[in-house]
Amino acid sequence: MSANKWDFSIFRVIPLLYKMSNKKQIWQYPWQFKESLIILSTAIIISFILDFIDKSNTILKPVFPYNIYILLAIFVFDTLIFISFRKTNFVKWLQSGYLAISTIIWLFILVIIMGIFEQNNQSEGLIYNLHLNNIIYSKSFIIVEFALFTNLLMVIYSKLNEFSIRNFSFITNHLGILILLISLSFGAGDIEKYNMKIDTQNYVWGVSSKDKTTELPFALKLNNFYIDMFPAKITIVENKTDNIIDDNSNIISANKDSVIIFNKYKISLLKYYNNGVFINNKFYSVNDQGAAPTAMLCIKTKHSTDTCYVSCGSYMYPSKVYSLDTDYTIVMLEPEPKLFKSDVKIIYKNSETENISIEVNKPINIYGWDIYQTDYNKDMGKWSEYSIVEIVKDPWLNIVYIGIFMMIIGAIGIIFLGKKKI
Amino acid sequence: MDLFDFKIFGFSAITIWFIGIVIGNIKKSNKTILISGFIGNILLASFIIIYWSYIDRPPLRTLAETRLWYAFFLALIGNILFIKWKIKWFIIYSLTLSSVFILINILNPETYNKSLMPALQSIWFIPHVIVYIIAYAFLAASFIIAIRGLINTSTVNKYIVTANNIVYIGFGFLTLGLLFGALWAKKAWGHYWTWDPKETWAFITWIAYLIYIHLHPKLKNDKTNLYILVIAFVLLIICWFGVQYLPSAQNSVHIYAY
Ligand code: HEM
Repeated sequence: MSANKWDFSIFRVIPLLYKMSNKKQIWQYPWQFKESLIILSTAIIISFILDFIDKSNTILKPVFPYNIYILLAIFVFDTLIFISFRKTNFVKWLQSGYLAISTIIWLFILVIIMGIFEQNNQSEGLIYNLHLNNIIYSKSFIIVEFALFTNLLMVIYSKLNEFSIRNFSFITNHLGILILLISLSFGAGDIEKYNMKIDTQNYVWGVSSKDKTTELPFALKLNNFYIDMFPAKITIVENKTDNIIDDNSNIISANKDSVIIFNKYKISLLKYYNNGVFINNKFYSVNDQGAAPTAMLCIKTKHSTDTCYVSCGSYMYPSKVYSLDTDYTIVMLEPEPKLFKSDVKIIYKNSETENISIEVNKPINIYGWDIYQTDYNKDMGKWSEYSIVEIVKDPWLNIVYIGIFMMIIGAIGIIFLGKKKI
Repeated sequence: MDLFDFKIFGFSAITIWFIGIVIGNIKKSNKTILISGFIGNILLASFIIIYWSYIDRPPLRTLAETRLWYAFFLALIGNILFIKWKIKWFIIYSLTLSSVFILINILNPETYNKSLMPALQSIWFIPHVIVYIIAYAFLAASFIIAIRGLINTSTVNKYIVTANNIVYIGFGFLTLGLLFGALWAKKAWGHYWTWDPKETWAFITWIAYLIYIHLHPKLKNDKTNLYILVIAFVLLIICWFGVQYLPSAQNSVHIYAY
C-alpha cells in the first residue's frame, strides 16, 4: 500500500465490481455484478436507441384500466417465475443484491440527468431526441422501474418464510418502496389536475386542461377572497444602483419597535397603517379600494427632526418614497402574504349548497376531489377579484399513503436496528 | 434582535469548546472535554429558544438558520457518540466543524428576519426540517470518519465499522425527511412528488446512500466504501446549497432559502 492513497481511487469502483465476481467465468452462475451490469446496461442502451429512433416522443403513461392490466400481467408473470423456478440460479439472481445495486446505480444515473436538464421543457436536439427532458416517461426509466419491481418482488417473496424483527423491518422497507414505485409509475396516468379560476359572478361547473375537459359533480363560486399580509418592511435604497442596502440592521419591521441607524440618520417608525390613501398629498387612513400600507416615520439627525410618509403603493396608487439625500432613499417594500383564503359557495348536483373556506395548506375534499388554494390576482393583491384553486383527483392516493406509512416504520427500524453484524 | 446577540452565544460556545479540548488534552481528561461540549450545546440551545420566541416563527427558513441547527446537532451528536464510543478525535472533529458553522454565521450575517410564506406555515414544517438536519448531521459525521479512514490507511476496517453505525442512523432520518416532505407537499401543493429540482436532488442524495447500504455488505472491508461515503456527502452538499444554481432549477418552488 503506497502512502498516496488518493490517486484515482474513486475510479476503482467499477473495476472493483468486476474484481468481486472475478473468481468465476462470466455467465457462469451465480450471476453477480458483471452479469447484472451487462444485462441492465444493454437493455437501457437499447431503450435509448429506441427513444432516439422514435421521433414522435410519445409519453408512456397508461391510464385506467390499462395500467391495472399491465400491472397485473407483470405481477402474475413475476410470481409465476418465482413459484416455478424458485430454486434456480436465475431466480436467485433476480432477488440478489447484485441486481439491486446495478439497478439502483442506473436509477441514480437517470435521476442525475433529470436533476441537470430542466424537465418538461421544449428543448431541442439531442436532449429531446433521447427524451432526456422527460426522463420519467422515457423507455430507459421504464426498464429501471421494471427491474426494480421484479427485484423487489422476488426478494420480498424470498424473505416471507421467516419471521424476525429484522425481517419485519426489511419487509416494511422493501414492500413500502415497491408500493410507492407501483403507484408512482402506474398511477401517474390516473391523476387529474386542473386549475379553476373562480369569481363572485358565476358558478364554475366544468374544468379543462390542454387535452381534456371534465365535468365535476359540484360547482364553485367565490363569496369572498381574503388575504392577510405581513407588515411591509421599510428599508434604504442606494439611488445610483437602485439596490437595497441589504444588511439586517437596515430593515424596519412594523410589528417591532426597530430603528434604522444609517450614516448620520436615525430613522424610527411612528405609526403603521395597513390601509391608507393620499389625496392631494394629504394622508387618509381609510380602507378604500386600492388603499396601501403606509408608514409614518421620524428621521432625526444631530440638527434636525423630520417626519414623513412612505407607502408601497398599490395597483391604483403610486408608491411614496422619501429622499434622505442625493444618494439614498427610504422605501417601503411590497408586503408579503401571510395567509390567503377563499370563502366559496359550493352547489351540488342535487342543488344543495354549502359555504366553505379553502386556505393554503388546508385543502378540502369533495367527492374525491381535493381542492387547494393556489393563486389570486397578484397585481391587485388583497383587492383581487378572483381566486385560483387547483382541483386534484388521485385515485391511488391511499395506496401511496400505505407505502409511505410502511417506509416510515421501516426507517424507524433502520434507525434502531442499525446494520446487521457481519 | 440582531447578530450581536448571536456573536455572544456563538463565541462563548467556541471558546468553551476550545478551552475544554486544550485542557482535556493536557490533563488527559475526557470528562473536561465532555462537560465543555455540553455547555456549548446548552448555549446554542438557549440562543435557538430565545431567537425562536423573538421572531414568532420556527427558525428553519434561511440558510443561516439551518446552519445554526446544524451546528447544534453536530455538537450534540459528537457529545453523545463520545459517551457511547469514547472516540476522542471524533468529538474534536464535530466540535470543530460545528465551530466553523457558527463562525460562518457570525461573519456572514444574512437577512434573518424573513417572513414565512403561507405554504410553509404547516405542521409538517418543523418535523420535516428538523429530521433532515439530524440526518445531515449524522451523515456529516460519517463523512468525517470516511475522510479519517482514507488518510489513516492502516486500520480501514475500524473506520468502516464506525461509519456504518452512523450511516444507518443518518439514512433512517434521511428517509423520514423525504417522506415527511412528500406528506407535506401533498397538503401544500396538491401533489406528494413532482420531481421538482430540489426534490430530485434530495432523491439523488438518498439513492447515493441507498447504494452504500446495499453495496457495503458485498465490499466488506474495501476502502471503496469510504469513497462512496465521501461522494454521497458531496451530493448532499450540492442538494443543500447548490441546487439553486443548476440550470434545471430556474422554476423551482423550493428555492426560497437563499
Ligand atoms: C430502491 C429499491 C430497492 C431495491 C431494489 C432493494 C433490493 C434489495 C435486495 C435485493 C436486497 C438483498 C441483498 C442481498 O441479499 O444481498 C436488499 C437488502 C437490503 N436492503 Fe434493499 N432494496 C431497495 C430499497 C431499500 C430501502 C429503501 C432500504 C431501507 C430503507 C433498504 C434496506 C436494505 C437493507 C438494510 C438490506 C440488507 C438486509 C439484510 O440485512 O439482509 N433497501 N435490498
